[in-house]
Amino acid sequence: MRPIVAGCNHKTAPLDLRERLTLDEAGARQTMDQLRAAFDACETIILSTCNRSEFYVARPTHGRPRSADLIEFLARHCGATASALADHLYVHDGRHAVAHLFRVACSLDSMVVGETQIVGQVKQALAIAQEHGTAGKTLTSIFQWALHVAKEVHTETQIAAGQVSVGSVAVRFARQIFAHFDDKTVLLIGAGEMGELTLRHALETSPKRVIVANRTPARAEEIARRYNAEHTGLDRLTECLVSADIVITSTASAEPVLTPALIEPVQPRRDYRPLIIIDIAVPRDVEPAVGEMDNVYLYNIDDLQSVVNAGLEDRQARVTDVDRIISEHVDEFIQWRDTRAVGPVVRSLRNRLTEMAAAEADWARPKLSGDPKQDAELVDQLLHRLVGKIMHGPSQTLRQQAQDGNVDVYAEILARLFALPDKDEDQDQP
Amino acid sequence: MPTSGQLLLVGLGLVAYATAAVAAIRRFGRPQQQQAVVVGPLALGLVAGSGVLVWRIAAGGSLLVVGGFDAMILIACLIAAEVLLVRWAGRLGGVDAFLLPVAAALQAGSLLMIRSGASGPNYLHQWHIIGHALVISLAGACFVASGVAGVAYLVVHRAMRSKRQMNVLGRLPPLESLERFGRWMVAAGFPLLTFGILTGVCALAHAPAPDRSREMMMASGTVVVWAVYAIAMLIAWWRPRLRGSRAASLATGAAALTVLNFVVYLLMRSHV
Repeated sequence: MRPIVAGCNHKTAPLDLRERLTLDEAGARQTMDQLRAAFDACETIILSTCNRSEFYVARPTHGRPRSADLIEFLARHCGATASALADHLYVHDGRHAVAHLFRVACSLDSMVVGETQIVGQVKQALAIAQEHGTAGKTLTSIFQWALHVAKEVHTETQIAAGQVSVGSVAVRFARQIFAHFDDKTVLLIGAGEMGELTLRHALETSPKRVIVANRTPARAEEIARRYNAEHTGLDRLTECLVSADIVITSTASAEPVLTPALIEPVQPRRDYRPLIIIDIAVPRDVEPAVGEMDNVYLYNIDDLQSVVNAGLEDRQARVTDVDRIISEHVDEFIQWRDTRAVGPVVRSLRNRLTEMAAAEADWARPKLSGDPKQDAELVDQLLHRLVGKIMHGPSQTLRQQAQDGNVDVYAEILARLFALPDKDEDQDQP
Repeated sequence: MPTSGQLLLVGLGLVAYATAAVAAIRRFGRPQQQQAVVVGPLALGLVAGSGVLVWRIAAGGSLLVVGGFDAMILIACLIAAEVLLVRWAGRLGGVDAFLLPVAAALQAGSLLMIRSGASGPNYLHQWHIIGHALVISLAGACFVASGVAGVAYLVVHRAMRSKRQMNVLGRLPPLESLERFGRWMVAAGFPLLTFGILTGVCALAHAPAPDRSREMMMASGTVVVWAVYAIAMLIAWWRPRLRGSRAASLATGAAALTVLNFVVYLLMRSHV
């Protein structure tokens, strides 16, 4: 069975196309069934996350689907033309498909390199396909090997250290200040896209309370509903600051929203608890003097970005290490798979030859006379018949391939398998 | 005087603490599961230190913890036990890189105090004196730990404020944990010190008259330390503003004073 993968991710396809190819569990099961119905005897696993949709198929070596078939299937699936879809898809075959999955599982293909969520998603995709009965030996072994590689990469390298998105850096800052978040309050001031993205990261810490404060209460309410948060207008900002521990600001205001004059009187009411303020607005929402106040830690977009950039430099060296590990594992996997594939073929060949030999022995046995001369002739006949029978099938195939123009490949393989002398050498002899 | 076997054990403990300290510093900020290399030598050092103390009790009937030799080994053991506690607490991982060198230094210091391990006046072997010294040692270990937490707090605080050296992120415990740990240590150490001073006053009553005034003078530093911690706790009670880096600076200063007092006390006793 030969693996093939077709898919798209955040680097190759726009959001609207990714949305059309994204599948929930039920959708994945249904699509796997459709793939099986369309391409008989193939194995399928679908890996669908918010950033990627990938369709892994293992087909018989000379069977279908080929790359074009798979693209055609996906185009039908998302209601696009194959030519339009092809621009946003990547298709990898054989060894490249294996290498691609290993890279995906190791998060080298993720939006945030080093994130570990993808490992769980790969594991889940495999589990769903196994449960659904569409993951056979080939894809199961590739996925299990990929999970093994991901584990090794996370243990052996520091790929997960130093995360590289502004939101995740903000959360790291917060984690360096607070030990636990189940008694903490996150306050989002403003309803901008970046603020919401950072809030999403902050929610990974599972805070006790989330408050969204915005000049337009309707917009605050909309975001609050999405994240099961409270909402308020900016007129109640002082009250919100009393209970807040983490403040994320991203308003479009031209004037600072948080000033020392606003925060100073609030501090005694909050018992001087540490306050971390993430200001991702441009122009800034927080006066720099706020960062000088006791127990207040202020970070603006440049501070966060500088950590992101430092992380990227460090990470580049680690990515090289990860690439090396992946490459070694791809070689090892291919070798393991090939060795495993040879076993049944050799066994089958041995059985076939044994059967032929047994048939010829059955033919010869009644003819044995006890006369050494006659029996020797019989043995010669037996061997001649046996060689003829063994040669019959391959000779016919070779002749057929000669008509198709493939004879050189087969002749080469035969020569190698039986250590035959070189064709030219043979012809040169008198 | 400690026997050569006891000194050998102290040496073994010193090597173990130093190894654990080096490992803790080298493995600074690595995942918890990769730090088994710290716990092994640390446990060995703790066993060796405890072994010396048990041996000395068995041999002499009691410890001379008012002398520097036993006291330093005892405090090193207590700090090593604190490190194990800190590692068990998980969220305080990284503080061991600060605490272990202190344990190693105390163990090394004990070797300089071999003479003070000689048997002192008879009244120093009485159990209430030993109890007093044990309580004071325990209080000292708590204050050293609070000081170490204070130093760690200031390191993290400075890095977070300067927005440079951000490699500290995730390598040291969160500020909240360090602050809480420091507070616990002071909260545990202060009543112990108070109790130690009260038992010390009672013990002084049993001291022969010629020794009493000298012991009073030597113990006066401890009263100063007590006063500093009492004031610090009062300020923290009345002025909640004293938290964060200010509290950490105060804890560090007070711990430094505790260590200084201990050193001065040992030096005075070694000249008796």
